[in-house]
This record gives sequence, structure tokens and C-alpha cells, in this order.
Amino acid sequence: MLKKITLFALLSAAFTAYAGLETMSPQELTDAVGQGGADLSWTLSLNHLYATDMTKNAISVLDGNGNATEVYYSLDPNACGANKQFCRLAIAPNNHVDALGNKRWLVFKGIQGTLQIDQFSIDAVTVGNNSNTAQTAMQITFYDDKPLKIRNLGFNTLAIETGTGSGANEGYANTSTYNTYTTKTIKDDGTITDVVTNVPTFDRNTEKGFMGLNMHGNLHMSGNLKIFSYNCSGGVNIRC
Amino acid sequence: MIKTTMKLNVLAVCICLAQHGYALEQIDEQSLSNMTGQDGIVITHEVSRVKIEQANWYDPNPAANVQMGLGLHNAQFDGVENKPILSQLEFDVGATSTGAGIRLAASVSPFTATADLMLVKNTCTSNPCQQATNSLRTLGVKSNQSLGKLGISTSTPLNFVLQTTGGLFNKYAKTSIDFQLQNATISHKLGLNSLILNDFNFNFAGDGYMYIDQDEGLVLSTYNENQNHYVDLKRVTDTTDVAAGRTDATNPGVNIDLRYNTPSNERKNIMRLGASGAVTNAKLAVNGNQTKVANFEVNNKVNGVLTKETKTASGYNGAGNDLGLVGSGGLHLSLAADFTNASDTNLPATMSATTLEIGHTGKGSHAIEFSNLRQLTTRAADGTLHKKNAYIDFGDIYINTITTKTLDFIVNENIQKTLAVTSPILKQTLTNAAIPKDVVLIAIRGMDFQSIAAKARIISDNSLQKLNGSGGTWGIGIPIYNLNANVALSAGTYGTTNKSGIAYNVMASTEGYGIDSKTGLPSTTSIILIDGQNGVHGEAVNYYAGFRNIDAFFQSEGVIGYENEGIYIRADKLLIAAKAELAIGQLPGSKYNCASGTYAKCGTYVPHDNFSKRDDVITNIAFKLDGSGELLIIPGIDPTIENPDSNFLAFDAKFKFRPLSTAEVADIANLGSYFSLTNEDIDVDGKLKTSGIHFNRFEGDLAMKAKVRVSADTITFDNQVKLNAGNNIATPFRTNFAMSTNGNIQNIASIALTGGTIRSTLGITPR
Repeated sequence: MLKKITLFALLSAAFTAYAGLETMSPQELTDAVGQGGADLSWTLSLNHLYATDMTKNAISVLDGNGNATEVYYSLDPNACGANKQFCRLAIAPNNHVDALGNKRWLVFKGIQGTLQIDQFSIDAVTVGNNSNTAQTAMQITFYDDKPLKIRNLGFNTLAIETGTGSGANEGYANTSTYNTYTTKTIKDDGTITDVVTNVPTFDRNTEKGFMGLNMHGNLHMSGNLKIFSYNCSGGVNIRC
Repeated sequence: MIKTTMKLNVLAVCICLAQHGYALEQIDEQSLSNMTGQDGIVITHEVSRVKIEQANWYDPNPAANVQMGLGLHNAQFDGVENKPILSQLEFDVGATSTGAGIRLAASVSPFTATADLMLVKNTCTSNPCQQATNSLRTLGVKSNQSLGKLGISTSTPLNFVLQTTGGLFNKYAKTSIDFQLQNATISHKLGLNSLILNDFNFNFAGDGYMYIDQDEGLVLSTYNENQNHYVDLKRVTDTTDVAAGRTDATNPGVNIDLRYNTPSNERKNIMRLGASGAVTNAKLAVNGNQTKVANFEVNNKVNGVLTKETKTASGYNGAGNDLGLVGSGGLHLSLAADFTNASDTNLPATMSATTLEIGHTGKGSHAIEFSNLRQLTTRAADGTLHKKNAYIDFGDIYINTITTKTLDFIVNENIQKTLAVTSPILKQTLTNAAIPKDVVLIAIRGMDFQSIAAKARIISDNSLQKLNGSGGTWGIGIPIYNLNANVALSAGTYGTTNKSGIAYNVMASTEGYGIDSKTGLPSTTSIILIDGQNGVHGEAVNYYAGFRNIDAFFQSEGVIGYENEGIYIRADKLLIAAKAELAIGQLPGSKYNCASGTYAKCGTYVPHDNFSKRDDVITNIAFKLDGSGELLIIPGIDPTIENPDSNFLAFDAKFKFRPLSTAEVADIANLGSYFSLTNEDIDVDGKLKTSGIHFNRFEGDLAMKAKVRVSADTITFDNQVKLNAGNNIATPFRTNFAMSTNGNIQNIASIALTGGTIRSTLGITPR
């Protein structure tokens, strides 16, 4: 199948180059290839400008050379609210509570990201399964020249938060930030005093937490993934 | 100013002859016939305006002192372009081989008509209701509800030709009918906006039978016990907005093209549906029999075997002296038709196979055309081709006006389990007030749409050039099996200014899989994609992938209104629940697509009952979403040079999960709104084992926006979901995450998403 496409692509390239023919539209290409399945393109965006503004039709604006002049895969400054409370994923494992019964939440603060893949294909193929019987599998094909574009995917910081009650008092609503810290100063007379000092600007006003993550890059994949149902025959050596 | 002329041609000529007889030669009968060229009667009627104050249909009511029904009030008919409405009726009788045939030809010139659609109620001063002694009217207290304003207009004459071979209502004498309702506009108006069926066509021609039967009532059918005929839903030439140079611009024979009209007379585009080509095995029957309105057919496992049962809901029909809710009468319709495909050997040469169309409408739009329609199965249990067509059967449709607080609705055990309720008999609550509510009830029982399109292609609107090419070998199947529904409508208001709308209360269910009681064939409700390329055996492989065997349940109540931006639907209650299988495989009756001998089963046929087996199932999904919401359906606008990308359908919705009550929260078995993925397996001893992951007790509110675009080669779904749309930190989107094995659910964690906006843009280019 792939060979057919390649062959066809080569042929049409050849025709275009030497015979001066017009390039074919996808519709015509479809007719010529004449097989089922579908090509998919997918963009998934969370809290980025592309996500919040439905009028944007692409994640970036490209110039004539394919370089981005404007990108929409950065955090929408309004997405998280003034206290940055609204871009959080919080997970409270069962039975992890403090002495007062308040849940301990693992809070991913400032989650965001954009993923885009320009083309991947879904087809169906027949494979032989565990009992050597014909079985239909969904075949998902990825192409090396159509990478998964990962843009600013991650979270600003990760923290464990415990609240004081339910609703707005749950741990996931905590808004502590790094503003000041206390240093001690020894005066000339030897007395020690506490001095409240601003944290350096790099961290100032950022949310408290111990680890952040940001991924940015292209993930090239080539090959296919076949997904099919696994059914127990009920035989003695079957796992279920 | 009504002018009626009746031409009795022979007589007219005779009168002429009588007056001028002394000067003219007498002509014989034969010459007379040649001169006038016809016999029979022609009635021509011309009118410039008709006004009807009220035309009411009273549905027999259980209470003798109440008249209730549907009415058209303030109806007005006008000619178009200052011309009168010219209607003509030709009536002729002649000898045929089977007796005396009748030919009726009627035509009505273009007209416009408007009327107020009312739910009418008259609580009579006398019991039982009686006409006043000195008037035609029945005196009483009127309480009418407005259901909007209806309009119809035609731009080409409505033509109807009926020719029978023996009598008028003879089941055994063939009748041919040519009915041409073309390029009509039908509108429904609420406030200042209207929903419009643009270029509405109901155009068919063919042979059949028209008869009156004591059980079926008035019947129009393509078949009797002896013979079956084909009816052609002939495509209609499109007269508006056709691209320059496009020569074959037609619309489907049955064309439902939904548009939207705003007060500024801006015509917007919603979507269109169409059917054309030959249909057969078609029947339309109208009668008043309501006895089966209470019957719900459900498929349940009885001793491990899927069995169809007919359950009777209480209340509808009553017993003894109690007339029940629907009373002794009402409207009972049934409509069914088979779709033909190219493999149908009986298809007349002049007709083509059925195609269905669905997609966007208006200038520059694209739609999808479905062809090669087939049922779920093509072969019987023994492997032979059963040669039965895909079909649509609206089942039994009952229309009544009723007064009640609740209605019973019966679901199958799959839906009962998905809803986590103790009884399969559900209560549809129309009102919680002390006084029962007056509604129009449209009850549908056993509707089936068993049609899978093994081939689909994208087609362009007539305002664009035609898309050539076959469009590949993909297809789509959205078969529906055993849809039961109760739709209750009444007048309603919404918004702070109490704008008038239609209050609705709907309960509906579909069944995933079963053997249909009429066709005896495996039937399903599914949403599947088809890959119909030829495989190693030189025939279509018919791979399918998607959700199959969907047992779905839908309940909603609220108000529908027409706003300037689009159709507004407020759901004070919205409950959607479904159980389905995510599966990939080959449709029953196809050959396993591998060279014989490679693996077991290669080259053999996929069994006819494959959809009842687990071989193709990847996982099972089940969900229940319970809450309230609002939906705005935003139509597209014809593109302009300044705004070329404006014609697409968009949705803007809000949904809030219903918070659980204190008692529900305390009940750990109550899952609230949930979504689960479950695997089911049979172990060595034949016992069903399940394992699953579950997201339970959804809380919070969501806002959603969606755009659907169909271009010449790609369908794009652009969706945006905003979590915690109200940005209230006290009510984030929350869920519990749990896992289960064999029914024992273990909670793993609580998950909260405090907010955020997710957008997914998925483009699908079929090959």
C-alpha cells in the first residue's frame, strides 16, 4: 500500500516535472489511490492562545520561508486568572488526609501545552491473533516527515497542598507565592535581627512548588501501531 | 372575490353549437372529441386570498367535557407576485384491463400561506361537549397555547397526478402517482426568527396501491401481497444560487435543507438532509388506533439468551371505563421504505439506486453523499445472501393531545444498569405542579434506520462546481435500532423578558443489538466508519471501526427559542447515558481478508451474528451525564469576499453537572455522573469477568464551543472546552478515579481541574 503511494507520488512528481502537468488535488489523489482508511490531522492545545481563541485557525503564522513570525502556543495571560488558580490539575490519592481530614493534593500548577501532528493515518488490516485466527486490527501509521510537534507542554510547578475545608478551601485553591524571605542580620553590637527580603526577581510572585516541566520539540515517529481486541478463548492456558 | 369556473367541455361546445347552429355545419362525436382533445371534467379555481380564522383538529379526549387538539389559526393563503392562486383539477374515468380506472390530475400555482400553530383546549360549558343551539361553536373556556407560526410557500406549481387501474381505493389494482412538491419553503417562526426548510422537495413518482383497510386505515403502499413496485424520488432541478457553468444542478427528491431567517431577513445556513433514487417496499398508513402506544419492545437477557419482550406501560390506554391518557383516538402514522442499491436486480432501468445526503448547506458548502446502502447483515445464518435492503421504518408514531403530570417509559436492562436505577419503568415528569399539564405528545415506538453506507463521498453545493471522481471507498454507518421516544410539547417562555418559545420534554432510548421483529435480521445502533476497498478475495472487505451496539438513553426538558444568533435550547434537565462497544472488525457477510489458509477463518464469511460476539471488541464504554445546560446552534452565513470563511455550523453550549444530594453523597454505591471503560471476558468456566477504570461523580460546570467544517476533501471538528466556566474556585471540575474488578469498585484518587481551556482540532481526510 505504502509502495503504491510512493510509486504514485514518484510518478506524479515525474509527470509534474517533465510533462508539465498540473499537480493533483487531494480529491483526485484519493480517486487514484482508491483505497479506504483516513488521514488525520490533530491539534490539541491547553491554556495556550490557540486554545482560548477560537478565531485562530493555526498555531503559528509562517512567513514565506516557513519561519514563524507569530506563535500562539504560549500561555494565554488571562487563562489562569489573577491568582493563577485556574490552570491546575490536582490529584488527591485516596485516604491521604491530614489530621483534620483535609485532603492532601498533588497540584500541578500552570498546566499548559500544545500538541500538533499534521498527518497520521488510520487503516484496518487483518492480522493473525494469539490463536492464529484472522482478526481485524486498527493500524495507526506515523510518518517521519510529519512529527508530533510538542510546544510548551508541561507545568510551571508541582506542589503538595492541603486545605482547610471544602470548596474554595480545598488545597488545590491555595495561592501561596514566593515574595519575600527572612534573613538574619548581625548588627555591630552583635544582636541578630530578622530582615524581610524580597526574593530575586526570577522567582518573585511565582507559585510555590518544587519542580516544573516544559517540553518543546518535535517527536519524529515512523512506523505503525496495530490495535486489536484480545479475547480469551476460555482455554486452560489463557491468562483470564 | 371568488371566481369559480367549471368547464364541461362537451356541454360548452354544445351550447355554442346551439347558439350558432343555424350558420354552422353539425359535427359528429368523433370530430368533437378530436377538437377538444379530451373528455372528463376540468375544474379550475382561482382565488387571490383565503383567510381561515380557525381550523381545529380535536383529538378524542378522555374527559367528555374537554375538547383538546391542534389548530391552525389566522391562516392566510395568498398568491405570489400579485397573481391569484390558480388550482386545477382534472378528473377522468376510463376503462382499463382490470375495470374502471380513474385519473386525477391536480395542480396549484405558487402561493404563500401562514398560520398560527396552536395547542387548543376548550373546557365546555356543557358535559359532554355540545354545539350551542344557535351557533356552530361549542361554548366553553378556551385555553390555547401557541406553538409558533407556520408558513409554506411554493415557487413552482405543486402537481399531483394519480391514475388508478380499478376504482379509487382498491388494494389489488395498481395506481400510479406522480407527486411534485418542489422548491417549497416551509417555515416555523418563534418571535421574529424562523427556522426554514429551504428548497423543500417531496417529489416522487411510481406505482403502488392506495386502499383503505379496517386495521391499517388509509394506506399508500408500493406493494400488496402479490407484487412490489419501485418509487422514484426524482431529483429536482435547483433554481437558485447555481454556479455559473454547472449544468446538472439538482437537489434530492426529498430535500430537507434547514436554514434560519433573522429579523433583518438574513438567510443563514444550518444543515441539509436528502434522499433520492428508487425506494421500494414503502408504506404510509394513517389511522386512529392507539392501542399499541403503551407497548415498548425491549431486548433483555432471559436465562442468558437475548430475547425480545413486549412490555406494556400503564396509564396510556387505561382499562375498562378508564380511557387512559390518550383517550379513544388520536393520530397513528406508520411510514417505512426500503433503500435500493446497485445489486438490486429488480431495480427498473430508468431508476437509480438510493443515495442519502447529509451535510452543510448554503453557498460554498459541502456535504456527504451516502450510497451502496446495506443492512448490517447481507447473509442469513446459513451463509446465503438474504437480499434484503437497507431500510428506514419510522415505526409507530402516535400524536395525541393529553393532560398529565407523568408518563411511563420502559427501557431495556442494559440502559437500566447504565442509569443505575432499580426499575426499567422510568417516569417522565412533565410537571411537578399540582395541576396536570396540557401537552402535545408525539410518541414513537420501534423506529429503525438499518442502513450502513458502504460508500460515501463529499459533494459540493450547487453554488460550487461539481466534485468529480468517485471519492474513494470509505463509508459511514449510523444505523439506529428500536428507537422509542416520547416528545411532549407545549408553549413556553424563557429569558428575563419571557420570550415565547416551545417547552419540550423528551425521553428517548435506542437499543444496541437485537433481532428485529419485522425483518428477523440482526439489527444494531452504531456509529461506525467503513473501509470498503477490495481485499485479497476481490470483493469489498468492509472493515468497520467505531462504536457499535449503543444502548443509549436521552432525557431532557426545557425550552427552545429562536434567537437572532441561532437556535437556543435551554435544558433544565439533561440526562444522557449510553453503553457501547469500541470495536474494529469486518461487517457480517464479508470474507475475512486474508489469503485462505494463512490463518484460521481466512476466506470464510464473517458470521451474520458477529455483532453479538466479542471478537471485535476493544473495550466497552459506559457513561451517564446528568445535569442542566444551554445550547446555542449557530448557523453559518454565506461567504462574502471580505469574509470568505463564514459558512460553517457552530455550537455554543454550557453544561453543569447536577450536584448530588446529601443522601446521594452518603450512598457510596451512587456513582453520580460517570464515565467508565470496561473489559469483559468469559473465563474457563464460562463466567463473565469484568475489569474497568471509572471516573465517577463528576462535579462542576463546563462551557463548550464547537465548529464543524466540511471542505472538498476534509471534515474538521474544532472543539473547545472550558472547565469551571464560571471561574469559581469553590466549584472546580472534579471527579473520582476508581478501578474495579468483577464489580468491586475501589476508589483510587480524587481529581480536580480548577479551570483551563482545552481545544482540539481534528481533521479527517478519508481516502
